[in-house]
Amino acid sequence: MAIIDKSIPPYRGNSSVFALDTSRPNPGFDFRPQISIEKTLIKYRSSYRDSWGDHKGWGVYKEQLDQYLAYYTEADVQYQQAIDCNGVPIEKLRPQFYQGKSCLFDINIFNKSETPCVTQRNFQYDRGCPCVLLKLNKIYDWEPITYQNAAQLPEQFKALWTSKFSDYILVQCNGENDVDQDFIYEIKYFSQMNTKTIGEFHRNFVPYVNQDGYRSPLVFVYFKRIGTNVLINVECRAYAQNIDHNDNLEYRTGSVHFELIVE
Amino acid sequence: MFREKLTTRKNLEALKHEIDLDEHKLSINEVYRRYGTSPAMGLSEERASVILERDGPNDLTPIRRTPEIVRLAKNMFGGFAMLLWIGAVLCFIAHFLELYTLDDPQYDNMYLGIALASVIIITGFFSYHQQAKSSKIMESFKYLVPQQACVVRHGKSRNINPDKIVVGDIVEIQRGNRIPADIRIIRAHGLKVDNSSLTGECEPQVRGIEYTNDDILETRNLAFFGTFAVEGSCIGVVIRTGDKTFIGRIANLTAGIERGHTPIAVEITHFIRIITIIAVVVGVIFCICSLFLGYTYVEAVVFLISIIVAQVPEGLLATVTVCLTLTAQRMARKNCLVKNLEAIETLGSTTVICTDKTGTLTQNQMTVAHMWFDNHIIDSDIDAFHTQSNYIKYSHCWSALARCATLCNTATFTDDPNNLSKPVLQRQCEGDASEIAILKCMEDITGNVSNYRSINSKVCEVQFSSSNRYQLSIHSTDDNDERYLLVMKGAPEKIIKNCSTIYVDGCEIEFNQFWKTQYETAFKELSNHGERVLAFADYRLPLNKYPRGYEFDCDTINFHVNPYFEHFNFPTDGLRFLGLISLIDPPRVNVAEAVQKCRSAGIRLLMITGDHPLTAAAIARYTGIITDQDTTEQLIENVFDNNARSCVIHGSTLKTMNSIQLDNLIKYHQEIVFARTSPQQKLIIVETCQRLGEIVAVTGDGVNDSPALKKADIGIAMGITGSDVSKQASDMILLDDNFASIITGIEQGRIIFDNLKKSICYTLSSKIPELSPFLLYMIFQIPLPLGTIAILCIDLGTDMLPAISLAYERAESDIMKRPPRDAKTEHLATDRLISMSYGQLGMIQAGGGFFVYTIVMAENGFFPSRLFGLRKSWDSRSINDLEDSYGQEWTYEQRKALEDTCHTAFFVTVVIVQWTVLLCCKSRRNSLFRQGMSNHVLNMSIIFETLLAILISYTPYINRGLMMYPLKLHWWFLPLPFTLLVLIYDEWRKWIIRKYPGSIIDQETSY
Repeated sequence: MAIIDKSIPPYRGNSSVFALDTSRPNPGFDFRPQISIEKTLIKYRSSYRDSWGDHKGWGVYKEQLDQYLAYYTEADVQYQQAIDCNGVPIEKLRPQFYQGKSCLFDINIFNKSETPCVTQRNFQYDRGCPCVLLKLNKIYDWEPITYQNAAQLPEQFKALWTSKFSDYILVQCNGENDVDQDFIYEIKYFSQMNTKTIGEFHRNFVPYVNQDGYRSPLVFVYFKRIGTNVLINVECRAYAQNIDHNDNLEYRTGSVHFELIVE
Repeated sequence: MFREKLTTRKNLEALKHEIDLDEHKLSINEVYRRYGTSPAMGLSEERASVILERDGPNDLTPIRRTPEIVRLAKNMFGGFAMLLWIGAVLCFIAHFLELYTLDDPQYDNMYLGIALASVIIITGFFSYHQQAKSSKIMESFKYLVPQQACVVRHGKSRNINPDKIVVGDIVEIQRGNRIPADIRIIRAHGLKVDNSSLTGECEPQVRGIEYTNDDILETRNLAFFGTFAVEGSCIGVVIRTGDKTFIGRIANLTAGIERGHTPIAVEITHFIRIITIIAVVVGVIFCICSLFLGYTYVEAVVFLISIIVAQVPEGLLATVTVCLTLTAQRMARKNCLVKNLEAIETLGSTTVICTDKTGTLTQNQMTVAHMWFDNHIIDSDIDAFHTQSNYIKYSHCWSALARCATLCNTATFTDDPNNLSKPVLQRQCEGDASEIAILKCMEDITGNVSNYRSINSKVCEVQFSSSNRYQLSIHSTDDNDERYLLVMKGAPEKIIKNCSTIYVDGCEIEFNQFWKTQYETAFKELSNHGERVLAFADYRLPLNKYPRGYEFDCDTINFHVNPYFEHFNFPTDGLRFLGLISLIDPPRVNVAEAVQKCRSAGIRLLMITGDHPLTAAAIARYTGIITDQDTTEQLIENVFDNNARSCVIHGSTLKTMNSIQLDNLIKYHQEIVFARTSPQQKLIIVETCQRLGEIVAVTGDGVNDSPALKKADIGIAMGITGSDVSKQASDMILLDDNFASIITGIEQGRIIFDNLKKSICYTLSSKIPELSPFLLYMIFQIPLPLGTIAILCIDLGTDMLPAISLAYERAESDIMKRPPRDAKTEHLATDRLISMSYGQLGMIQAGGGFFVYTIVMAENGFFPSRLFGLRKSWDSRSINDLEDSYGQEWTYEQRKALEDTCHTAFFVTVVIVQWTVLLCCKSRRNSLFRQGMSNHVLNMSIIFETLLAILISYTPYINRGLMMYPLKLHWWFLPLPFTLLVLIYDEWRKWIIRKYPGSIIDQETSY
């Protein structure tokens, strides 16, 4: 494919296929662990550990999370393009991104803040309160328009407003239907800002411009107390001014859906 | 059920034999005895009702009609439709398999099934509607049945409903009645019947009490059900009723005959077989492959079904129907009305035309052909007269003959100023056919006959009768001759006896042996031309014996009672012989040319007529049906000589032949005239031809032709002179009665066959680009490049009009110069056509499609290397972060939008490459540059399909409904190299075919 640039997609922004249905690109949103490509179900028996192959226990889920996080814990020896972006405004970072630099996502935030979502604690699967990893899809050149003041925020976040919010894409999970919400008693979020009441991705990780060694920011959702032996439909949404939510089940953007059954 | 069918078949076989009738040979008393009746008393009511109970009503029983719903079902489930139904059912099966086994079923198979079912139902109704117009055979026979009949019962005559008539009834028939049953005539008064519905001869026949011929149609003492009493009256005894009558047998034969499949239907079945075999073989191969690739059994079955269904040409049924309809319309404009669509193509593959003579080849109008006077035979053609006008002007003999012909003639022009202002030949006349012919001839040459007659007033006349076979009249003349002039006309042998002198070159000389021989020679020559010869004579009655005011006594009363006893008070012998005038029903103007064209198109012509062998042979010579210059007698002897090219065979000879002899007769003689044939024999001839593998067209106009018309592969009836029955039994009607119109029909039929081939080639070529995406999807696990809905958009959308427009394509070469296609070897869809269409044009198209697919995918982030093996993740609704070659992550919906964009691009590519495929399909051998671009419908169709593609891809809502997305402008240009490649490749292929005929490329790719 000599005629096509290997690192820059020919169609970006509003002219890319990402924008076909929504008129502007709208990043998807995904979760881990996902053990089958055909299922969005996390189902396990909390008292039962097993490894790959037997799908009753939580072993597979832990192993997948471990594998996924390994990418973040290993040092990037191959490219070494990661830079520390803490406190650097995006205007300064952006040109660097185009030169191949990308922000370092410090996986230690999960360890540092004594979160339960660490491998040493089996991501709490054994206790029946699973941690689920959320990540934002990479779309070349896409940048969020973050909320600049409380007025722009969706209703449910207004009370939480702090000025730091203007640097973040917000994340919130909930039961998809009223019934599901009834079974979710308490959720905590572990991410960079560490507010615990809401998840967030720092906007410095975007735009993604196909940098080598790029790592997406992550958020852990900790289902601290949920109903057991019941199927709970969970929906997590990312919030920014240019992320549209379509509640149509067919065309899901800016949100992710998965089911939980903890026995 | 089976038994019933067997008996009907047996009955039909029985009907094919000649009617078994001997009542005309028996004495009248024996007939009475046989039926237990008497001429005076008739039957008793009681006995009549007993017989009625036994024989059933004197009515034509309508055959059991196929119920409409069955006919509709036949259209819905027959042949091609069945293939589509199987496809549709498979689709639904595949859909339900998916529905119950997959969490996330696709609805593609259901849409496809619904589309297939709608195509079948719509086209089914369409062709049902086409058929519903025809086949009312039995109803048309009803017009022949009289409303009322006068019957003698218990010694009293009364009017009864004709269906109550039974055998043995004595019936009375008046002038203008239809004969209510087959009768033996007891008493007749100047009866003339119009037997045209039985024999096709339009001239009324004299009927009486005498037994004159073994042949039941010839003998005088029989009259038949449904014929028309033109003149006179009679009393007869009923010998056959209802379905047993002559016409009843024809009616039942006609209605009962079932025709085999039309050639095009056979071709389509053949085509379906090829397609089905290919579809199933490919399906099974890939089904096995998919099992090896690790798919589950259910998936493999769904694949199998999808692959089979993908090869069903959904649009083809509609294309074929529309192509035929368009041709039918075009032919209707050229005076060929087509009743049965499939018959159009049949005409093109016709190898033998069995043509009737009267009314089809000839004008069905007696005309003066030749005259013999002054020992010369003169052609009565108007042009010939003008070139010889001086000769005629100064010939005394001519003026005497003209005077005689003008005066001794009772025919007149219908007295109506409108009528009289028309050209002579088109004027309405009253009188006998031959007299009208002479009248018109005289009016044309000498002019103003009526004035001439009024100044040469008629004093006395003796009318023509079949017994005396002459007519005479006596006139006072205007040429200052006091003497009365006796003019006589009649059968030559009769006149010759009454003549003692002959008028030659203005001199009256003795009619000696020399002149008698001269006359014999002339007579023979004229009658050998199949002409009816009349002799003319006159005589000046001596003034002394027959002075002015003499009371001529024609003994009219006595004469009619006993015509053999002539008792006149003037002499009828010793006359002066003037000359001969011969008449013929001349061939139509264009017929000879048309026959010539048929011959150069490799079509044999057989003439089947009820007429006399001599007349038939003469017309056959005129029109070129017989090219052998031997005498007719020789031709009749040729029948058993297998080396002879031409022969003339009499119906009675035909009757003695068995089927092997008949086969040989038709196999070994190129040019055959069947004379004096009965309706049953016509049918047998048609059947013999069909047995020999010929595709037979039959033309005819009479009721007697209808069984043959029905049996023929294509029956052609005459629109003007044709009887209702013949029109109902036929597939095509020549509105102008012109045999030459058949040529147009044949030409159109041949063109449509060629064009259907092209159309099929075009339609099938898009099958590979439709099928291969699925195969690659299955084997290489790439995202599906072309979806089901896009396939339907091609098959039922953009491909339809171009495929139909090929029906308008003109012929490549002079198709009327080549022999008809050989039904056994030359098929509509051959393996070569399919390999050409699938393997070559289709492959290039598919190549184009995949090229564009790859580009679109790559430009949006998925490089080809990334695509392989991607299928499972790509199609999983649960994966929302599928990474592309740029590391971008795609949710399910975003991927599907990209996939639909690829479908659109692939679809557009097919449309664009089909431009040149269409141009290539225009001709099979010729270069496109020679074939030209004059088919504007085709040109429009290219624009149309492109506009349709633009509409489908860009119109909001419509595009989403059809799962399409707007394309970027430059993607439209990506297929162009492939478009050009198709054109260049095909031009090169055709160039090789033309340059090296018989080379491997010719053998393998010319279809």
